[in-house]
Amino acid sequence: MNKQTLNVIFTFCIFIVFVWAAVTALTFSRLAQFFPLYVSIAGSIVSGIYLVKEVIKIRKQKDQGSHPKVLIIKPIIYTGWIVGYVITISLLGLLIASTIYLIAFLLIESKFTFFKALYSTGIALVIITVLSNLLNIAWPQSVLLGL
Amino acid sequence: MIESAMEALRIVLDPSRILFMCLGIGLGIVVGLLPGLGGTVGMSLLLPFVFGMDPFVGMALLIGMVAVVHTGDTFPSVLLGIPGSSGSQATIMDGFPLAKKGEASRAMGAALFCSMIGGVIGGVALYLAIPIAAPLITSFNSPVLFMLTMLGLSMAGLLAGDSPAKGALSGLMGLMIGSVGSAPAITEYRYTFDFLYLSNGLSLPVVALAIFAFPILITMLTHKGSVAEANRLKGGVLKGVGDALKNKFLIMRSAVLGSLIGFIPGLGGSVVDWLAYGAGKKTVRNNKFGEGDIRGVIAPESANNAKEGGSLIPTLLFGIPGSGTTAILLGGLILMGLEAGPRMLTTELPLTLSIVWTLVIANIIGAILCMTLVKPISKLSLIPGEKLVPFLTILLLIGAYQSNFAWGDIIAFIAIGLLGYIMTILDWPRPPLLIGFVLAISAERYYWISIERYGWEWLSNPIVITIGVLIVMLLTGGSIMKKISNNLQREGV
Repeated sequence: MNKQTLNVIFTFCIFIVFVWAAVTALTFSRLAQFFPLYVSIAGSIVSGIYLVKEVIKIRKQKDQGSHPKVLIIKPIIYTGWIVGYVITISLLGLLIASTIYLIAFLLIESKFTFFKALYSTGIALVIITVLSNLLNIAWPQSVLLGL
Repeated sequence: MIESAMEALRIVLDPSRILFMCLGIGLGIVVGLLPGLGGTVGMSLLLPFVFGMDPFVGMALLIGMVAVVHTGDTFPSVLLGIPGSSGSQATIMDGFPLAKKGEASRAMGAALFCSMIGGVIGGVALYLAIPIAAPLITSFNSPVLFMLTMLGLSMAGLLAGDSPAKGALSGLMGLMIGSVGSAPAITEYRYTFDFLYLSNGLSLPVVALAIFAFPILITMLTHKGSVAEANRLKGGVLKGVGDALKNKFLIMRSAVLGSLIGFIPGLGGSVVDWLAYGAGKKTVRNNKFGEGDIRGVIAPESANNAKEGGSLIPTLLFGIPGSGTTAILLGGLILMGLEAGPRMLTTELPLTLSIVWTLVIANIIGAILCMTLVKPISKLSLIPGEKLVPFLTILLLIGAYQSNFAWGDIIAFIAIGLLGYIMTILDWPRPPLLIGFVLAISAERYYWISIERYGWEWLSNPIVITIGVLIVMLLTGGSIMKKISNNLQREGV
């Protein structure tokens, strides 16, 4: 996607969020309202002005050659890996989820051989377990299994 | 006083105390190295062990740990662009670009040397402040604290880069995210969507990790390369130390600033590195801050270790903790049968002075220890992204989870991380967002107290006016000087 267009869409989203925040702030009591109200009004004004300026800029530059593109599909795929890992943790617990995630990622994305992926995963899990025990670090718990 | 200091040094150098100090240093470095953990986690880990301990030994353990957290946290900040703790956020700005150029060892050398000097200056500041601390601390009322918060926020303007509008919006987004949760003035929840997790607001480690680390994870994968784009490491630790020595006045200025900010209770140590970075950017000539200028590493690293000395002044002498770490330290004092307060200057003076010495010695030992680790750890920056990211993901998710031990931490990490990624690809500056977030609650709280307590009269307070003028000078000084210089060039002077 065109970087400038994405910038306009992003600014528009921010503008909408600030306007919504300002309207919502009006429902708060006086002492809770002043800070978010000031900030959201300022945000609405600045984002509104910036949005208009960007739209005018795009219109002026419409016929002036190509604009830089931004990657969309690849970041979505990689974010999907992270989200998938988090969902697996919530289902199976950290250790099982990490094993599945690491082996799958190392085989598919990192192009490791199976044995290399296996011992890399083993070493990582040992380090996680030892550090967690030494530093008393808590792990996210599985919703289903309670692990 | 000097005699007491020498006596305290003798106590600190006792082998058993040195051993406990080294244990604390080891833990402090590990805690700093692991993203998401910080001094508060380290303190919580050690607290159960100090119960009933000899106060000199207990303090050697606790202060040894807290002194070096900001030394160890330099590794992830420089090598991966991920803040090791909340005090090393600004180090990323130039440390990471230097690592990308293959100059990670140089950046690390400078950072560790500055951390050491900064820590020593912080210890000296603590020593010097002992007799004069009382009147100074009582002079910081809420209007002054509000203006100091505004001074911190003005740094967001300095870090806006080429687009002031994007910088301002980023800062405002930070303030908005910071206002989620309970209002400081009244028991009322804002923008929580009835989620219990949001009632206390979002925590700083989650936001800092999300806004800086998540985009790095995705970018490293999409670009299929290592952090060091040059694929080889240039410059060594000693080159970095040499760079630091060349900028000794910057180290001094930043360390003094760090001590002073740490000294002010409630301002929040998380902003100290940004303040030092912003001040450095304004005062260093011909700088290329943000593009891999070594001075952009020197300024925040000198300040964040110096802050620890400053923050101990109100904690020990008045029992006012300036951060979560110092709050737990107060608990540690109680567990050892002591109480913070004026007694720390009279009957417990040797203990206070032993803390000063521990701070100084721990910083030296910690920096030297880290310097020996630079070479092997710097090689991390040569590992291709697709091989490093899966392991980093696990580390970061566990790190984010440590804030509240709630699933909300992980969901917030991904949601804010996506925002950070979009900002990254669209060239929106992310540091202003973090500064806004850090200072949101302080700004609201001190503004509200100032208005309720003083009406609008607080605006006539001379310290308030002075800080106000300083903010205006900081924000406009650069462009005015640039205009004058351009005019002079045009006129051929």
